Amino acid sequence: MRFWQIVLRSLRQHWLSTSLAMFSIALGVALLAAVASLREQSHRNFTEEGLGVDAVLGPKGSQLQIVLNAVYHLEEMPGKIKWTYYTKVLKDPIVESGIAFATGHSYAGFRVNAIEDSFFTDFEYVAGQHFSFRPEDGGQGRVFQAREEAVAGWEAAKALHLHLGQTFNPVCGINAGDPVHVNDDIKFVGIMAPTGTPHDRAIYIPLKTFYTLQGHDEVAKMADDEEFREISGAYLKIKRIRGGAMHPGIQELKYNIDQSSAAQLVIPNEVLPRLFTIIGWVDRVLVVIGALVTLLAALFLVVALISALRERRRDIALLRALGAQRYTVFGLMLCESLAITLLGGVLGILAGHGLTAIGCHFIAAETGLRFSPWFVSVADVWLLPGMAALGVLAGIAPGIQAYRLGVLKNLTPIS
Amino acid sequence: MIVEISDLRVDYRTGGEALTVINIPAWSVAKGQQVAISGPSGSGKSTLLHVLAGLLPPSGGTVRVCGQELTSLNEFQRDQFRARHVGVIFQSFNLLQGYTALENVLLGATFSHKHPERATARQLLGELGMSHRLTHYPSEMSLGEQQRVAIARALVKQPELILADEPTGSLDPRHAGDVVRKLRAVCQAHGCSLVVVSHQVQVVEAFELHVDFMTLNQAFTNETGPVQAAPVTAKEGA
Repeated sequence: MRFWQIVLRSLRQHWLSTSLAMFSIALGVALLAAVASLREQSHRNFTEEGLGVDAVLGPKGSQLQIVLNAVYHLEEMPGKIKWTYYTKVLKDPIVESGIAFATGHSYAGFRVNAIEDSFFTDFEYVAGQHFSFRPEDGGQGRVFQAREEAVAGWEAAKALHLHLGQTFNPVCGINAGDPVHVNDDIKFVGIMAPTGTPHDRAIYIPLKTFYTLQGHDEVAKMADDEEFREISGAYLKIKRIRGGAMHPGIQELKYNIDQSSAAQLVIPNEVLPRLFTIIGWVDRVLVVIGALVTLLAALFLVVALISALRERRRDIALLRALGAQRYTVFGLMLCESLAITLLGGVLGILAGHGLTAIGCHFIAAETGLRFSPWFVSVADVWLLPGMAALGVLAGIAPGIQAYRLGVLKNLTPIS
Repeated sequence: MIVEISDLRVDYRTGGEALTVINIPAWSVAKGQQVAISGPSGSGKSTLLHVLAGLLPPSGGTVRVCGQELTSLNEFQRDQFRARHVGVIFQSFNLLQGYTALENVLLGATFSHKHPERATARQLLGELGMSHRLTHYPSEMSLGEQQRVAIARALVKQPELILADEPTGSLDPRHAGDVVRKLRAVCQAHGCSLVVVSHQVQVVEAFELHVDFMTLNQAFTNETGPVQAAPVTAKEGA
């Protein structure tokens, strides 16, 4: 028999304590893995993906609310800004371009944003990457060209089983029970190729359509009269200096805009870290709970191994009588402990992804953010080596006991 | 010679006093011989076997087993020596409970680094009349059957010497005779020397060569009991 077969046989022989220890460890690891996955995905969603927007020109109000609405299609915009003010800001020498949008509509749980068509040609969701409708990229159709046309983000199209030519009636609001624009049949003419950004989760209609939807009588004249026209906000692209950094004049521009009563300039990269400062304690608490559960499980493992060793004294003594070295029986206990923590670790990581899947479901339902249960977090990489180290540590005390075990004392006394 | 003993002394400390339990001036067993050592319980027969197996370092003298001077080896080397050259059979509860008969036999060679084929283990069990019990666990076997598995386990690594410590102590006379016959037969078939200690007359009488331990062990020649000894150096080696 090989050494590893003896290890497996010992584990099988004490399957109850082995399983209990393994499941305890799996529980702790699952918590750690799930928290790490959701935290990392949140960070990715709220930091890297926000980078596609240099700045958002928005109404006065919560900066976080503006970013969440403009970039992540969450929350509501705290107000409106004047079109004329937006065009004035566009003339600033450090502003390269802008894309105006109007939010506040939805369809089947997905936001319907009215936006300028330059969004599909000029906007870079990642540096150098523009939206695509090419079938080879996963897209379909084309950009909207007429008032009653719309395009859907990839995830929205997939979730709603949308197809080209299908029509819909936008809901005037984002809450259940809000009125529907029943007389405005808008046809999907394009589905955007997946980008892995929040833009996949929205539906887009032409900006001017927003003003001409039936029931928007008071804003209808905004379509033609720029003096009256209002928008929810605008994405601004800031000129770059050497090295690709944003023009430093953005701070002065921000100061000037913020001083006015008309609008404010919000820089997502400055706002989003604040979000994590606010909610960061939640995942820290969960990480501490996960770590405590894992440590308690490791202590349980030590106790289980030591109590199992009491029952196995004669077996260990017999192995020694057959020629096993002291370090062999020490290694046996160490490997048993290691096997339990590693198996518990693997089980825990799988269960962690299961927990993440549940978390994703609730997050999607509450916020519309789509996280993946199969996201491989940094924790997935370090948890197994961590469990291996824990296994070795937990195996040391029982290993020493096995090492010290007297052979003759533990064999049946004879003559 | 497979066993050569000279001035062997084993001392124990009991109640603060040092006691000599074994004092053998000279004794040897020739290669291929089968010897039974008889004596009453507590006379030190098992202790002698533990010394020969390298499980207990002696307090004095020399012990040469299979050509190797055991007193010159440290514990690690004695374990290696035992794993490769000596098979040990105990009185009872010889088998590991979580392993089948076949696995228990294979376990006998695990630490000798010989890794025999399963076929060899099966053949040995077959020779001992245990072919029908290969996949049975010790709890499913009688004590006599367990002892036969223990014999196969001791032999599977093809040792030069088998040391059997009261191998029939837990068996009734009919099964005891059967186990001893089989033990002797397989040892002879595999060219293995055998030293058996037993306090059972019928077991000892089954051997052509037998030794009265009370005569062999000079420690008990004093009628008042074990002789005083000093200095005390022996301690359990495992």
